[in-house]
Amino acid sequence: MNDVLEEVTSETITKDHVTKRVNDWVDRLNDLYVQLESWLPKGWHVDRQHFELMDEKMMQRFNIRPRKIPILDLKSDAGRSASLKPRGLWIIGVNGRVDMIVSPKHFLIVDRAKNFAPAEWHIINFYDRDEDRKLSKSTLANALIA
Amino acid sequence: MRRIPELLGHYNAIDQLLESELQLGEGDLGRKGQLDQRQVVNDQAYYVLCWGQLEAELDEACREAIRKRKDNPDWTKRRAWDLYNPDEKRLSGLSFEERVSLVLDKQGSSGDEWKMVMTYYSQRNKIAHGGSHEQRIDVNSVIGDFYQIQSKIAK
Repeated sequence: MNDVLEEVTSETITKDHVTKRVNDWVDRLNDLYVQLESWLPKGWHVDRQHFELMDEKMMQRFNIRPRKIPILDLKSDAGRSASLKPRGLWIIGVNGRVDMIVSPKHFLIVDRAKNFAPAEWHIINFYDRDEDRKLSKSTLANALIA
Repeated sequence: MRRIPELLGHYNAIDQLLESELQLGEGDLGRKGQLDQRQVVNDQAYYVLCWGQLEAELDEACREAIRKRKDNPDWTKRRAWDLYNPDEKRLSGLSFEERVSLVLDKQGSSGDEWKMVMTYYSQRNKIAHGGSHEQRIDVNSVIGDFYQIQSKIAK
């Protein structure tokens, strides 16, 4: 199954597949946070103490236990802050979404890769969906500072 | 698909309102559940509306493909096409899959788009027939796929 659309319309999806997808999602989140930390503008720091529970309908369907997934909080020496929270894996059209709130701004970080392929993260302005860019050091800095 | 930009504008405005409420009520789990459900319904409603635009585009392309070939003065090329009436509402009983196969090459260069249409169609049916109550849809991303499909339609 190449993507979420194929998974949610499949009659043959298995518990094993869903478990692998959850593990893959946790791995991609951890890799994303490591990448973001390395891209942070000067004066910004990470805080990875917080978690939340992932308990999506697809997991409930196969009696897969809720999974603790990391939240990433970012803080700057100048007193600014941002919070990244995973919003969902099984969203048709993307391969997982993380919401980044840099109040009052709101960005979506979505993976546009096919299932189990290397992640292709994009950052999108939630209030102007045409502003859709590949996630990079510079697009992250723009979101945090601009 | 000319109404899609307008539909997307309405969809995004509602999604943003729901999201703002969600941010304001953070911590209130009951309210969160209610707003999450509203976002799902909003996604699905606009997905089906946008799907209707794509389906109309596919149907119109199908009618045009039939008309073109029925105009062929060479009967040996025209005779199979004469079986279909492009002006008839149901296109002489052609199923959705058959209509899609008339304008997208299932086994050729538009095979990916053919498969995409049929999978989106399956999701559309699940929603329309009450079989999908919890699935969020990134409508903006899906519209990107619809435009990709549109670009491969051959008349």
